[in-house]
Amino acid sequence: MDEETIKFTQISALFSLILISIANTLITIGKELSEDFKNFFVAITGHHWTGHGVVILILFIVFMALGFVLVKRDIILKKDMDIYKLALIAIIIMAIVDAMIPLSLLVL
Amino acid sequence: MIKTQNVIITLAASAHVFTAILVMIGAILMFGESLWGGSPKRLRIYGTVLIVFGALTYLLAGWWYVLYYSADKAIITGGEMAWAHTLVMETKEHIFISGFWFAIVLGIFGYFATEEQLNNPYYRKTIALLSIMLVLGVLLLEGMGGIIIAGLKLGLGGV
Repeated sequence: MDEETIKFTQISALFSLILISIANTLITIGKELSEDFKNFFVAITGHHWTGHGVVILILFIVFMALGFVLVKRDIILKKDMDIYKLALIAIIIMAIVDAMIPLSLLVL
Repeated sequence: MIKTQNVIITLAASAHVFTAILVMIGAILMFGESLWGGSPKRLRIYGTVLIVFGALTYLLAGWWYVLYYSADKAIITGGEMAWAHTLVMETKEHIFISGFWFAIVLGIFGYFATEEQLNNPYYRKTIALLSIMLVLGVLLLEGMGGIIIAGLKLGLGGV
C-alpha cells in the first residue's frame, strides 16, 4: 500500500469512528425510547445488543468507504488535512456522545 | 458435568478482562513507541495486538453478556447496589461498543505505520493521543466491571 492510500485509510477510519460514535448513542437512546425500534435490532440476531453490534459493524465499513472516497476526491475531508486535529475532534465528539448515556440515566 | 461446564463458561467469560488488559498493554507500548521509538515494524505488532485482542475481548464479553448476564442482573438489581446495573452496566454496555471501535482504529494506525509517517511529529502525536485515550478508556471499563462485581457480591449477601 502506498503512502497516500495509507493516509486516506487512516483519515477515513477516524471519520468513520466519529460517525459510528454518534450512531451508537442515537441507537442506544432510540432503543430506550421506542420498543418497535428495539425490536428491529432483536429481529436481526435475536438479541438487541448483538443486532446493535452488527448494525454498527456495517456502518463502520460503510462510513469508512465513504470517508475514503471523500478524502480521495478532496471533498470535506482534505488530502493534506491535519490528522492530529481530526483525532482530537474524534475524541471530543466521542467523549460528548458517550457521556450523554450516563447523564440521561441520571437525569431521566 | 454441569459444574465443570459452569467453571469453563465462567473462566471463558472472565478471560475478557485479561484480553482487555493485553489491549491496554499494546496501547501503552504504542504510546512509548510513538514518542520515543521509531520502528514501524514494532508499531505493526502493537497494532495487530490491539485488533486481535480487541476483537477477542468484544466477542468473549458480548457472548457472556447476551447468554448469561441476565441472571447476574436480577441479583444486582435486587441488592443494595442496584445502580451497579441501572447506571454503571447500562453505561458500560454503550461505551464498550465505541471503545472497541476506538481500539480497532488505533490498531489500523499502528498496523499501517510507515517510516515516513514516523518522521512526521504530528503523526507521532496522533498515535500518542489515541493510545493514551485508549488506556484511560480500558481503565474506566475495568473500574466499571469492578463496581458491577461489587454489586453482584452485595446482591448475593456478601460484604
